[in-house]
Amino acid sequence: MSGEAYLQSLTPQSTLAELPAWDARLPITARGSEVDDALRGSDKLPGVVVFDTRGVLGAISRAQFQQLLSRPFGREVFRPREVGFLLGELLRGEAMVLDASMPVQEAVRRSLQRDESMLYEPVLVTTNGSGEVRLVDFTDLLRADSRISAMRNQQMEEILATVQEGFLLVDRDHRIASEYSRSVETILGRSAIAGRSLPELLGEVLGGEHAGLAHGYLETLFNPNVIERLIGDINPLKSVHVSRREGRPKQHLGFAFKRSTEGKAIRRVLVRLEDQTREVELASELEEQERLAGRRVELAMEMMQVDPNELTDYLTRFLAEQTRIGRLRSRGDGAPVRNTIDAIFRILHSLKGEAGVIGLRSFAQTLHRSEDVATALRDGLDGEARGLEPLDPWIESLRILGAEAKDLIVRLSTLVPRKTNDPPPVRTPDVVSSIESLIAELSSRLGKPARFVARWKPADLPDAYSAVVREALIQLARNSMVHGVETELERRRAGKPVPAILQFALRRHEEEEQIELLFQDDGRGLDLGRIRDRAEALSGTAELDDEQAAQMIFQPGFSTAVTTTGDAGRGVGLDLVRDRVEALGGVIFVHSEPGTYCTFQIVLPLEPEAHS
Amino acid sequence: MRLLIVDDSLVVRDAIQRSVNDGTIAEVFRAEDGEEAVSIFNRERPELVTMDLTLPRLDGLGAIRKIRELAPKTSILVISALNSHRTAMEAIALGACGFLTKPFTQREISEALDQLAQHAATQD
Repeated sequence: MSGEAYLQSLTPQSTLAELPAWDARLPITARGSEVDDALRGSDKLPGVVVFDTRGVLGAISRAQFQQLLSRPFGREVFRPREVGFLLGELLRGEAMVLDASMPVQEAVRRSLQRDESMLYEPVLVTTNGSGEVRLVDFTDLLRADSRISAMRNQQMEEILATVQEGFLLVDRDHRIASEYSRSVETILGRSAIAGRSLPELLGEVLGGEHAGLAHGYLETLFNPNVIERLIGDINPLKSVHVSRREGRPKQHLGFAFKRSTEGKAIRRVLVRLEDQTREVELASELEEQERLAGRRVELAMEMMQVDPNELTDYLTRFLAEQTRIGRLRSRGDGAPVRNTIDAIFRILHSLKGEAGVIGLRSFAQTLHRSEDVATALRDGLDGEARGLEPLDPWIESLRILGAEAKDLIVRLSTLVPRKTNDPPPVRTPDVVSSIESLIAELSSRLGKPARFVARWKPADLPDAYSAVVREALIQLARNSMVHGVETELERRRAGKPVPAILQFALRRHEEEEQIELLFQDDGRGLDLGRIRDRAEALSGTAELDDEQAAQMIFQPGFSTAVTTTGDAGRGVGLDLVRDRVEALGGVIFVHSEPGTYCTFQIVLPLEPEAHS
Repeated sequence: MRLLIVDDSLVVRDAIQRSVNDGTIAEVFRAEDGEEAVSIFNRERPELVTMDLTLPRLDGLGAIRKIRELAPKTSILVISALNSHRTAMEAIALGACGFLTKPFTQREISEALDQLAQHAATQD
């Protein structure tokens, strides 16, 4: 049991200085018999260090010395010889001397690089600057290394397995009981918390105001008059943001509380502490991705609704003008800055006007803001000193917008550029194929595999309806893809087939003098619970049957309210669809089964009504 | 058992009353402000009360205090928007035995009323 106590005090950062070291030195002129004496004097001594006037030459280990003595007549031959001679017999390569401040794991690595015959020899260690050299037994070094590796693994496992949540108990005085999970210490960054007051501790870790809230809520939990199931709503520590402090990263912590009772008496409260930082970060990353995907979706939507010829013309002009702006911006020909700004402004202004006319809202908005910057720049220019730098971010965002639009126009296959002098296209057949492209685009953007099936004869759709049907289908397809259809993972978990199927059908009912359009997805169906909650929150109506609740989605402004939580406020526009359908003398219904499908049914008269 | 519903909004009073389980609650009283709540309570002495916190004349905290003075065993459920955790916990400290946040769903209010009735049944 040679001093294994040192193993207990090791940490992953331990250095050679913390290992047992032996100080046994002999000058080069000493005899072999002196080495023998030293080794006999202490049976743990791993060897002796040999030095001369210039310093350390190397070491003779116990194993090596015994090997020499065991040769034929070894004892007689080597005991009388000078140590320098013995060293010459034994040493292979340079003696390796390591600094005491070297971490154990690094020392092992270095030691293993020694000559093979030297591998298990003691390690020479020098203490900073002192010039003293001691010996560390290689076995001790290996033991320390294996201990440290084990600690590192354990720490890793703890971080991976338990840092997420921890439990503790508090008694009536709000003191923390001794049996708490170790991960609580990791999560809160505090150790030895047994016996401490939980509110005080939280005050230190989360900020002062939390001490009072924790105290108040614990009082509430210990109050025997209180119904435990009816106070979860007012838990002030349900989700707490902890800002960066004392070199610790920011965190999101969640606390849940549960009474521990004995008969009717509330003895203690069990606290579950969860580190939700990663979840919250992931959620916001996802939200950002969704937002970017959403922006492209909006752009695609706009482009779908613009006449293809106009779109192609506009985009061609937009890209050309953009090149012109770039050239104006970088022109170093000494033209007055004011003239350059005026020229850029005129381009922006005319592009904006055209975008507005053909209905490209994203373009119009971005151009409008760029124009504002250009105006401010022009009005602020007294002399010629100011540069055009403030315009650069806007030039860049116009470039991105142009590139995205160009990319989308290729993806939306029905919008392949046409020559303007071609005969005007017949619009009706486009209706369904452009929906197919839209769904494909949304499918890849949102990571929701989906297939579109259309059952209809173009001849069944009166020309007068084609624009409205196209617009309605665009809204319904988007609504389905954004809200109804699940991600691939969700569908697989629910045991539903992948891809999702979106269907469109059109039927003429001659005897009823009606045209019926059906649009169905096999997604998650309407979330009637959430719709009811919204309806209640908005109008206080608490009792809607399923039918009434479903029809709420056609209320103006309602759609947005439903989606603010899930899809960052992207409006669905179902109220617009209803308005357009009703303007033609038609009606729209929605039917849905949770987790199964959602169907929109539009019924129109065979011929449009006379009024607009 | 009998229930007093206190809320200054007619819509909310109706929504709560619609969720009342006729099997457990025999009679319902309604009040629009804290003063009216205390006076109806004093006259009728119902076992159950739902209480809004923001009320004209006398606020919810004041009404809870007076009702508990008149009858310390009354089971009071606060049904209110959660504007401040401190106020919510103060309502509990004054004698409310639960807190349901607005907006609520019909199922939530219905379950909460059942809990409240059970609580009242164990008070004697």
